[in-house]
Amino acid sequence: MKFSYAWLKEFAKLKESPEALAEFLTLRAFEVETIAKTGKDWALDIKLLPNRAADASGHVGMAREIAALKNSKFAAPTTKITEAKEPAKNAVGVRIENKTDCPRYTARVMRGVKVGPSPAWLRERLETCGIQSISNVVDAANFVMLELGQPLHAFDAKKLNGGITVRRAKQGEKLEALDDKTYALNPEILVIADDAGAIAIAGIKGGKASGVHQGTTDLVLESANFDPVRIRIASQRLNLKTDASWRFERGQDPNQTALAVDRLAALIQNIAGGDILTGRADQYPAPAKPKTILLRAAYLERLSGMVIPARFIANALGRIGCRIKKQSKDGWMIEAPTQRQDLAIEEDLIEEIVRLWGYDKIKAVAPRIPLAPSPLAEEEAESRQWRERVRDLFVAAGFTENYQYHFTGEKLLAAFGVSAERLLELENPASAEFTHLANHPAHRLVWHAAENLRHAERVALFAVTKGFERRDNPTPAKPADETSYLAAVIATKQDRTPRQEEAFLGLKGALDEVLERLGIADHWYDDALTVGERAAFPAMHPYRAAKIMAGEQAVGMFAELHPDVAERLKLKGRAAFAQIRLDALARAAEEEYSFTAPPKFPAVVRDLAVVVPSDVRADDVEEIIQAAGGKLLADTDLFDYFESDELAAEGKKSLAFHLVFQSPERTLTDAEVSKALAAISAVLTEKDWEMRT
Amino acid sequence: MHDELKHIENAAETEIRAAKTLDELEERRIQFLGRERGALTLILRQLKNLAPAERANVGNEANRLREKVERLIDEHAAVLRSSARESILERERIDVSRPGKRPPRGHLHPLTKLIREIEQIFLSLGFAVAEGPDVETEWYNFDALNIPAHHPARDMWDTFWLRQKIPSTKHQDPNKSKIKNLETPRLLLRTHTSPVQVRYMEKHQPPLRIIAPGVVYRYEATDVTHEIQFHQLEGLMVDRDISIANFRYVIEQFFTRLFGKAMEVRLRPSYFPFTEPSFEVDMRAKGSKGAWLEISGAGMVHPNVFKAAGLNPKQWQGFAFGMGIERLALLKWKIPDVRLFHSGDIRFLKQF
Repeated sequence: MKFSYAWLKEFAKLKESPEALAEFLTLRAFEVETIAKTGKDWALDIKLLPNRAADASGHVGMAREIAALKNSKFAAPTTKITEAKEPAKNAVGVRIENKTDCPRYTARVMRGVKVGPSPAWLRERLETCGIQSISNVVDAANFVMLELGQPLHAFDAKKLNGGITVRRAKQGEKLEALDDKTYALNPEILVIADDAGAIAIAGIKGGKASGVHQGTTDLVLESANFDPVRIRIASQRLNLKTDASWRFERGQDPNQTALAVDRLAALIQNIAGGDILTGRADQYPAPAKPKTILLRAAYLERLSGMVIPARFIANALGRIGCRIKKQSKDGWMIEAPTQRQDLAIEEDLIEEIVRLWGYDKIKAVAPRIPLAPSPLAEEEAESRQWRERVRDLFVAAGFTENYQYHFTGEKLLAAFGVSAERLLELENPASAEFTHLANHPAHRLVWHAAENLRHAERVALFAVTKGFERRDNPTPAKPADETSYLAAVIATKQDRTPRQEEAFLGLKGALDEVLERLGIADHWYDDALTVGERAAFPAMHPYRAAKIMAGEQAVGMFAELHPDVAERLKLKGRAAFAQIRLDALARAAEEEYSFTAPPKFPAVVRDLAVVVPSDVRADDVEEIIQAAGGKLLADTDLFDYFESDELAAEGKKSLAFHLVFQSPERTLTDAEVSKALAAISAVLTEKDWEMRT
Repeated sequence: MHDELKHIENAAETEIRAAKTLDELEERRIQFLGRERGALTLILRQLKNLAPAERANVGNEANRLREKVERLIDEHAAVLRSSARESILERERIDVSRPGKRPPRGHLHPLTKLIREIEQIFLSLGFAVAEGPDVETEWYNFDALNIPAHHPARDMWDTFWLRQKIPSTKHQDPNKSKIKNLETPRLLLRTHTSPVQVRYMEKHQPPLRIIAPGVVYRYEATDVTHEIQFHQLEGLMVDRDISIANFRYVIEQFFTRLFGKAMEVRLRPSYFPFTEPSFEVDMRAKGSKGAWLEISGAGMVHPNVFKAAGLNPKQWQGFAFGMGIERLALLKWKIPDVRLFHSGDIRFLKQF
């Protein structure tokens, strides 16, 4: 909000430069965002705090604030008004339908005014404050608003049909306003009406028909107070914000309407002539009374953490317009002026005292607290621990961490072929691409990988992030389903392996590494996916996809990206992605962690190659070998997976294993190992699988 | 015999040292010490033909010579081996300026690094880390924080609203001492981490001190300093007598540890509905004459927030603060554009 430096100077003693004043205000009251020279004056753009509109949105109030801060002199403007004989009450009737909507409506009436241009001094003041000059009458209303903060309006009295009523608009009622737009009104909106209909949107904008124009001679001047909530609702419904609505939304002092309307009438008379009828038409059914607040010295000291002298406190209270009703060594009973609507509770007063005393005088003091740490949400600490561990493990496996938007939109959903059915939808999305919250964060991560392949040969990314789904029965405790996920992707531009397996096997290897290091030794990959599981990730390559299992528990999925999806994403290359539930992972890891003593006796290693049909899984072969090998076969390790063209033509592949024989009790003899090997070979021969040792 | 031994000794001394390779040296060994035809072996074989006195005499001498020859061979072998290795090593020379073979290298996101640092500092000050949901109710994001519907302060947070609603819920109305029934409570994406204050205080009795780092959302145009999704750090400390002076201590400690040098803060008046008094926090290096950087909003927890969380404001008091984690990161690493953090661009991410 723009303030004129020269104008402030009329009410408060200002020796400092505009820059120094700006710095002073920023530190002690409101941030001054810019200072601009306008003619001989300076405009200070002051970021008024929203709770101070009632007392500081006018120059008088701002000057009062400055004087209070500086403990210097402040002079409020005085008004002398010369009235004609006719009483205003006879000229205009005022009726308020609901005193909550409109606590006060004050009007004055003028006759014989001559509408014309404003004098230069008035135009300059308005210009400094960023308001365009329209005519002397309208400018005068704006001037007094800038002076006192009270929004004002002038009606052409001759255009009014009967008296003024403050009421809710009727459904379907319309009003053409001063901005030449016609607004459709409804009962949520408060209007000023005459007997014929609405003449103004209360507290926001005047109507065009009843407005002041070139030939206007008689005026009804409105100085009213409205319910901030009512004005805010109307302003939002009509999408109409004005200087008046801004002030009313934040509250104004109903006790200032009389002064404001007097100032306005006197100013109009001064610059546009005319007579002011005697008195005011004033409806004020329940006059606002000052609030009484108790301020305890001990609490002030305890909350601020410092001792402020009682004499300073009493003085400061006076400077901000508070009246001390009662004073004792324990504190003060004070009465806050009605223009300080922000002063309602003890803490509000404490803020004022400390602010006037100076925040910079508060020295840092280490809190004295019990050693007991703050109570910890157990599950949260646990899950954070796992989350951080997973991060470190993926970094160790060569992945780069990505932070991504939680949003998704039509394009991304369509590219991955998923529906938005379970997704939370935004009422006011930022863009067409950010209309929902994503449930599967792996998708956006793959998209990021695709973007990166434009300038990289290979990308390995991971993200620890959330997926969101709506709940059928949301509760305040759990408004939505939020799941923490680990998502990972490897994408390569050029896969040099013969069967294009680099991304897939690279990711699988990384998953093995991470899962093992988390202590989940019994993890495996289940390619028997249900229809539902496949439907959840239509972007999966149908023959390169699996659930990630920890024991019998599925903790996530991983797959190669379907080439069709890659094409839609313009991903030039191959990509494999994984998505794992962090909570399931943490549970599996906790159960697992166990210790095995290092073996005491040496191992005997034998190699075994076996040719099996192409569709037999390596895992299954390994299981068969392990079962046949008996207790002495401590470990098997697939070290070669070979599919030559020759073998492929026969529908076969060759698998080679290291077989590790070991006993915890003794050193094995050759005979023992041979016996176990014979058992294995018997089983394989039975299956008709050719063996090569 | 003595002469013969003398002769062998002389020959050994010159010929062994003349051997150029280990193979040649082996030949010399056989020549002098070989079991079959070694020069010394032959002499020793003749000992039995000598008179006993003479035999002992010559025998001792021959054995002495044998030891000497063995020593000569060993010494020369060591010389030859070392020079042979030297030449092998020389052939193995590597140009050290060649690039090494690196293991694949991953990177933590800069915000992860920063958040870990922040958590570490506050953990060392006895704070716990708390979390809350990203999808919030209107109640926790606004009403419980003393921002009722139609309060102009709601303009301070541009909000993403969700189409989903939740069934009507009952809450303690902080402004009046009664239960408020929210008929059509809406869901939204939390605009700040402050709802965690209320959620945490509902479940835990003071004294308490927590931080809550987390994702927040704002419905606004993005530019180099604005994002629609970013991270905030919430802090809350509540006990019987926690003061502004205590806040100043904690926040100065935090900045000092985070930036690795003594920092000072400046408090300026501000307004937040959920704190009273409220202030903006500016910081700069202690003793610096440089500009103050606006870094955080803070204040003393408003009594209505305590009431909304079910705590008695007459018994408890404390401070709360919030700050943008990205803003800290921009300062820490001198990053020019906040949008880089969510760009997913590995050319940015790999620098951390």
